[in-house]
Amino acid sequence: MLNFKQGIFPLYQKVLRQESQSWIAETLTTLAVPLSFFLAFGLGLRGYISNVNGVPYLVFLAPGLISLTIMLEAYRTGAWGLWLDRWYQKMINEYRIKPITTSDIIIGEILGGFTVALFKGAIVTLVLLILAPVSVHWKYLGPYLFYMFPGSILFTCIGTMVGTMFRKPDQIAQIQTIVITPLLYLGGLFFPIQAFPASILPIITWLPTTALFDGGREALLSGHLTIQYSLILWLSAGLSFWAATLLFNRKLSE
Amino acid sequence: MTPPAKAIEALQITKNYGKIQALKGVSFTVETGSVFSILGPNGAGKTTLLKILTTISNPDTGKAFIEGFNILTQTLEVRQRIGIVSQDNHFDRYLSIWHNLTLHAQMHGLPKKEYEHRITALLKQVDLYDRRFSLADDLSGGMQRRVSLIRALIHNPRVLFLDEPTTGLDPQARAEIWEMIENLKQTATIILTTHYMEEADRLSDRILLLNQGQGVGIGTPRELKLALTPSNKYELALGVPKAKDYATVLQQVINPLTDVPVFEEIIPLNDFTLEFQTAKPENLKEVLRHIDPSDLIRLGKLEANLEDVFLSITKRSNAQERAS
Ligand SMILES: Nc1ncnc2c1ncn2[C@@H]1O[C@H](COP(=O)(O)OP(=O)(O)O)[C@@H](O)[C@H]1O
Ligand SMILES: [Mg+2]
Repeated sequence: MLNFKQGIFPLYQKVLRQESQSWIAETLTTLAVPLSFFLAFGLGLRGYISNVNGVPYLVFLAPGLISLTIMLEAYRTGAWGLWLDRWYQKMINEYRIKPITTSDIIIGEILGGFTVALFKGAIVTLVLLILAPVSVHWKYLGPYLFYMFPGSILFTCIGTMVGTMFRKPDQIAQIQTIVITPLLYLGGLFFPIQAFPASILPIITWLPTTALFDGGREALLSGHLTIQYSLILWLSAGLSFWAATLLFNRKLSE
Repeated sequence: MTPPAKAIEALQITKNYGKIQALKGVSFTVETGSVFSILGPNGAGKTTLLKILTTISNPDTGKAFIEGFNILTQTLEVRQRIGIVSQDNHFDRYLSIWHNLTLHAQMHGLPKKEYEHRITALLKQVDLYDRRFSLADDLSGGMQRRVSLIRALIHNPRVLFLDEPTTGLDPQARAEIWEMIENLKQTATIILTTHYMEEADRLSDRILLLNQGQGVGIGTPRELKLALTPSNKYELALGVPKAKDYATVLQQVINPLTDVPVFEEIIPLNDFTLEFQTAKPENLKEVLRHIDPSDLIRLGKLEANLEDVFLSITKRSNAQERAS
């Protein structure tokens, strides 16, 4: 049985509190990646690429940079949060002697990571709005978030699984470089997925990250949702949530 | 009316980590309201035992009850009743002391008003109220220990587990922790682990001696000391630096009936003193026969202390271990 008041909420609150301790550094770190891409591709390549899929490249790129931030932050918060609590600060053992369950603990951590990620996405959105000639159609925010919610749950869960399993901090960075980053870059962040060779395109369209970037862009620019992308994202979010909870419970009862 | 359950009942607990047998069938009971120490060297299995009793880790076999609640099947009931101070100071290093404490209070389901009041009182009690917004890393080891201790007390636990509460502390900080433990006696049953004899002797009502995962003795400090009496340890003080020479001489005194040395364990403590054991006081005459009276200053009996008890018992159990 889940205990929201004693288990999930206090841990959720803890993640937000940890994050707010060093919010200036956190914000700068969050902005670094999308702004670098924005400067390099958006401004640097602007003269070479005019319109992509009928919109200026900057407009094409911006939604992906917001989604990228959300997913990276979800992964990072999940992975480092769990790593800190399980291996470094050993707080998990302190939580476990409280009258709550391990599911409460992991769900609190996942919700925390999810919220932090969405909050950071909002910061990047604001900064891009100031820098770029992008105008957000606020009415399309709903459809966009319909993709971003499951996406950030998915990446927080992947993060928490990595943080639960790997004892060494370099492993978390390695997984990010080897698995997370390629997945993110393949999903139509910088260019339309139709540019992929027809032979691998079917695989690409089933990647959750394609749903996030290709689908997310379409949602934000036109408000259009597809059934395939919605299914992929919500199913993989559900699956990863189940897997993360199971893994955590397993690992802790060893 | 049924008699109140024992604070702790542990029955034949075993735990293996791969090939390492960390606990080999440990049993004991702890009376409500008493201080119980688990005394043993590093690696004896003290932390493993506490982790099992506090539901963090499961035993391979065996059972245990905390105030009558089964640690395996009634974990929530057990957790509501216990507080634990682990061997290392674990804090959330990104949160202030205050928020570390409130988080734990929330997890015990205390209402906000109540826990804020309680945490304030506890912090004042340990002189750390002014430091409540500091991070743990900015506090000294002794201060962190005090915070760990009050964190375990916020919810008024019935049974308090302290894993090596004073290891690594300076004498001043250790004295403070001892005083806190002594004051806590009135409100909770206390189980502490330690490898300091002095600590176990001073604080506990009963002591379990743990060695290589096995209970090798249990009793009050006094009972354990009496178990070794009549103390068979003697000290020989010399006026000349000949302790080593006399040790060699005494080693060669053989009991004619049994062909075994009369004196066991002859240890020159320095050039002028040696310590030895003999099972029979009448053997002391032999010492006087072999020592030049003009060299002798004093021959006296040593009182057993907990350290002797511990060493002699663990030596025995280690020897049995090797033999089997
Ligand atoms: N998680 C673990 N994995 C493997 N071996 C362990 C683990 N925890 C403890 N041990 C081993 O179990 C034995 C008892 O350890 P421990 O309970 O920590 O002793 P103590 O607290 O008395 O110093 C030691 O040999 C230790 O190396
Ligand atoms: Mg230990």
